[in-house]
Amino acid sequence: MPESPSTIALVGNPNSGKSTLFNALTGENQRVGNYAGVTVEVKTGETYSPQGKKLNVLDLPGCYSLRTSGSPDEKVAHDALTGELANLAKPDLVVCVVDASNLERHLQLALQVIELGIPCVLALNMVDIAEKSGLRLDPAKLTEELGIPVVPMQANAAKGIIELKQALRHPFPPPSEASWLELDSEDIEAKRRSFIARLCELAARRPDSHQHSLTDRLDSFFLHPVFGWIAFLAIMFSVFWAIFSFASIPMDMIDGALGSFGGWVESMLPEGDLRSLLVDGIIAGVGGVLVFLPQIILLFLFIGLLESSGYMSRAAFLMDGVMAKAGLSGKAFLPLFSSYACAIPGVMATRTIDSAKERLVTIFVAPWMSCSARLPVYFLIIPLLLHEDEGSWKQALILFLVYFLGTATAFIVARVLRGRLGPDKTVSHFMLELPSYRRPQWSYIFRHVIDRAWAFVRKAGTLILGLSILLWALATYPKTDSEDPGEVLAYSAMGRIGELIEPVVKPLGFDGRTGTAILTSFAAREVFVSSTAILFSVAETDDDEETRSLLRDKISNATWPDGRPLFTPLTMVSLLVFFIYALQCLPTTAVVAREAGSWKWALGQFFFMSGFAYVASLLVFQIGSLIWF
Amino acid sequence: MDWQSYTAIGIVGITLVVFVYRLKSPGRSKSGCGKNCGCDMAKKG
Repeated sequence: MPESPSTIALVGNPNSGKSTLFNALTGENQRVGNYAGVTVEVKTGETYSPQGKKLNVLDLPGCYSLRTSGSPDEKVAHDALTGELANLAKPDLVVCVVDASNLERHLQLALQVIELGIPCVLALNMVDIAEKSGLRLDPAKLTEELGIPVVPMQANAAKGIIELKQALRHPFPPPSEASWLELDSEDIEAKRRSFIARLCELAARRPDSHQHSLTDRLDSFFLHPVFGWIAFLAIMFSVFWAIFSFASIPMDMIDGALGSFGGWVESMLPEGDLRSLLVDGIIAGVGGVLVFLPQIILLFLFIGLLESSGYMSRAAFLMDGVMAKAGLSGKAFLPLFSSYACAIPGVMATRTIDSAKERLVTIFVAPWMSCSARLPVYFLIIPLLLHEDEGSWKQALILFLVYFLGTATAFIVARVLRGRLGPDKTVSHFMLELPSYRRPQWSYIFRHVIDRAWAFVRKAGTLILGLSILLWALATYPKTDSEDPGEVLAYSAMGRIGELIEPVVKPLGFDGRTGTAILTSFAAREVFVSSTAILFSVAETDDDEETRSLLRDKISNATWPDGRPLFTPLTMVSLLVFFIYALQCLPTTAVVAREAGSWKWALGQFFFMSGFAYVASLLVFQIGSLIWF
Repeated sequence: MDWQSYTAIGIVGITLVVFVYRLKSPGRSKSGCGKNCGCDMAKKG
């Protein structure tokens, strides 16, 4: 009977390079984040010992301690190490990954792991950063004092991997005797602290403990209570400005290419339903979303740059004070920040939050961080608010205000909800790792951008494509003998739905077509762009000019039946407000139900946010109409 | 109705069938998402 493979567990603080090491050992590409909470579940992989024996590798959630009363990820890590996790073997050896430049903090967890009596190896990672900061490391001394093998390494450069694998050969090293437990103190935490202080004095010495590194000097600015905030706002605004400025040329190229393709298809087929499906349905619908690809790429490029450089942890530090006023701890920053990309990983990242009540509140407000799916809608509407000669900085400012509005409302509602849920029985603490500033890891950034871009294109080519075909059918059938495009649309299923919806959405400033497009966007927010493209394309007459105009031009020229412009600035603001607040993502609702442990909570969130969006949009339009007319 | 109409309706019908099948498919991602955003959840399978 073949011997079952041994199991190696990787454990370490967030930001210790654990996931990078896991990638290096197992060959899988996992995401490397620069702040806590990237890994929230147990990942598994395989590697081989120097003797060629297969080893199962577990990547446990990053955590700062093994408290069973702590956050869900601390509990998972503890249970995995003690063999209490179902369907997961107790590890035969643990690799404690520590950041060599932050040994005082990282050794806390390593000592707790060693005390469990499992054979351990210490992976002393990021030695390059430690040495650059002036630390003098003595791995031999660390080995002697800890009683376990210590392997210096630089996981992101694959240095030390071979030496680490040598340490994983059979037979595994014996468990350490954990000599610090013999120290003269009743409190185990005091014993650990005392031991770590002495160990760092012996084996991780700084020649000049008062020397300020470049990171310290930069942090004196970026963490300043005034300048830090100015820098944060300036950085965010610059990112948005760059997106609008740099993306316009590739966007025009994509739109031109799609227009040419549509023209070619029209020239190849005689007039008929298939031609209409291809040109007015598929090309208009999918193309209407794809044209925003350059902006998506730029946004994630800048986010990757900020993450990889180490700045995002500073943003988390600044936000801690603001979130405290909202009744949230700084641990909510990462879930909320993740929600700016997509609420689903953001909701799942709330597992790092100790307090159950705080976790529920964070889950509840996370969808109000404007996710990337809203971006095509924002990028469609915002330029329409301004004259075409207006600078990109004004568009950037409006986008910034859009994000600000959603975020500010989330914090206000979080405050109210937190108050209603009552105080926690225990106080939770937020420990934030501030890694050294570093050069961006371009390979990670490009991999991240390509992943996001490909996901965007894949969604356009699958879900958006399918919905565009169905929407075209709804806007085309049933048919009428009339050749008037208005009557054609009114007779179709989409037109009838629009007629039913119009009384509901008219107080918000929308007509039936816009209302129908909003309804379809509950399947996926980007579909609003496709729906609008289809609805307003199908309405074109045969006498229209041959050249395809931008969707924005079509929207700008759209009118009510009496000839009044449909998309006035007020209507567009009302539309933006609706999209900021509406929860138009059924997968998010499903994940919320699972993470909150209750469909009641998820449905409550859905109906509350939908109602909130409706009322907010209504107030904006009605009050705006009173002020301007 | 001409050949274009029949073809277009056929395409719409196939699309509808695919949507219904995917909604009812038992192999949906446990994370609840459609793996369309490029995040970690998509890689879990």
